[in-house]
Amino acid sequence: MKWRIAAVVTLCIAGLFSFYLDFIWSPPEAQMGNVVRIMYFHIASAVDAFLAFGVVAVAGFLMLVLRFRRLNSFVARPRTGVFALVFDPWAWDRLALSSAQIALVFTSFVLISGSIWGAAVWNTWWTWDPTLTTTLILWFLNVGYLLLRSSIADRGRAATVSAVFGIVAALDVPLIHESVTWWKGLHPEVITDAGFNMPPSMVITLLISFGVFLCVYALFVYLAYMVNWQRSELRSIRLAVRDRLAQMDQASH
Amino acid sequence: MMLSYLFGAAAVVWMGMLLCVIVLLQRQRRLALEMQEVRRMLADMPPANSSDH
Amino acid sequence: MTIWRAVWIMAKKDVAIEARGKALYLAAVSYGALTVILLGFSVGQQRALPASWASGTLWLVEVLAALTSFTRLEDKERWDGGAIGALAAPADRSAVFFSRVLGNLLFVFAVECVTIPLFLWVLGVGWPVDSVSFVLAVLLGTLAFVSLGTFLTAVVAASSLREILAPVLLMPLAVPLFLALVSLTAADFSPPDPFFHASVWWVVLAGYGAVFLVLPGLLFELIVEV
Repeated sequence: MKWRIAAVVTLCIAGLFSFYLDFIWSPPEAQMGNVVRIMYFHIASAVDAFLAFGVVAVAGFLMLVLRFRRLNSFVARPRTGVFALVFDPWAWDRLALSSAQIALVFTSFVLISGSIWGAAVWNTWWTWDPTLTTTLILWFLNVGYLLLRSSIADRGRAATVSAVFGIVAALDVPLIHESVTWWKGLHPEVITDAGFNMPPSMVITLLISFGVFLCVYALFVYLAYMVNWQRSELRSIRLAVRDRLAQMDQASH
Repeated sequence: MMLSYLFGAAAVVWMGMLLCVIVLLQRQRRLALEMQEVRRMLADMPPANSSDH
Repeated sequence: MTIWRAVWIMAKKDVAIEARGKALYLAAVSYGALTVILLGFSVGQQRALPASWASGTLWLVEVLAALTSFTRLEDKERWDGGAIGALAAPADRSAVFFSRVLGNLLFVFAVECVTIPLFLWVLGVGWPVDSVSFVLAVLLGTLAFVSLGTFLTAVVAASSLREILAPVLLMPLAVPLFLALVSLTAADFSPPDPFFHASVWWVVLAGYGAVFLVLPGLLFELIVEV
């Protein structure tokens, strides 16, 4: 418990430092003025949203491999500590679920902050730019993944099916981005890649913001993982209690 | 001027969020201990096909 | 019993069952036709629909009509334990998937044979300038769409939200496919444009068809557990 609280406190301080850099230290941009500061939050959470979805796909893949590749004797060997988790397919499944839940948070934040930025700078709340469109579709895929997961009664089947869907969805995302880019044709993109033609002070602030958001993502995934784990443990305990009561009923008749 | 207000607001939101995280961690710890107890209870319960009744 | 023979037998069975009743086919054709007619009303008196609008709405109608059929077709398998029987067949499980794709494909083609001419007539679009390319795009696009749809119908089969979830999962994944079809058919309705590079969209169509025929063939055993 101690190290967890220490980690959270460190993150708190790092975040405050990052905010200071974002809001006060870094320079306002030539054309956009102070609005550009949204970028530090927007781009960082975009990176994390896509990363989170990638984690969903990879964790799903590992779960499928560990469950179905006839590695049963290899997988079921009793292990201790970290290896118990690394070779447990259900641990990877829980990671996939947690990452999907957190990905929804980050993707929603990206869409909202991007919309605010667009409204402030280009006077439009939405545009069918490839990156925006892809992020919106990613949001729908994310919601679909979570719906699929929660609407299947059998936990094992839910895990397998959603892993397959997660992998297909993650592989499709770059293709969606490319095809929307081709479709737009010769139209100039409203949002050009800011790239690194920014003054170094902005680059440093952006990178530190990346780091802080990455730690926030890790912390949230950890929390979600614990919650999901406890839920499944609670479920198994409830089932055990119910079975025991049923057996006692039977025995007493 | 405006920026320091924004900074203050962001700092408040940030710290509030991390406070919630700490509360969640405490709750989880308590829940984990309770579940351990329930499991111990289940294990200690008399086996189902005993002829006590 | 090779896999192709199993696929052929199961597909023949599905088509025969449907051909006997024809109820679902008639319902799907009516659905498509009514959507086209309502579309005609909503467009109004304006008869000359621009090519890009025409192709977009055409594929929207086709996608909706196909989507509503997929789940129903799968449900028919479930009656009287048909699905379990199919899985017990003495062939590789992916034969079930391929036979479903074949059955769905024939079904959707049959629906399209009615709705596409109806669409062209009701909305006053007229025959496409480049018919060969149009027909090819329709064939290839339908194949890709049907294989993707059949795969996703199998994925959501165990879900309680089955009917709503299948379109929700399908539409985001099918975006590149939809864009390809709309672009290609729009080009077929207008005079040839030197700046339009069709090859990219053909690659997308062929790629989708290939991937969603091969991939579910490999993964079908995982998805379908009795």
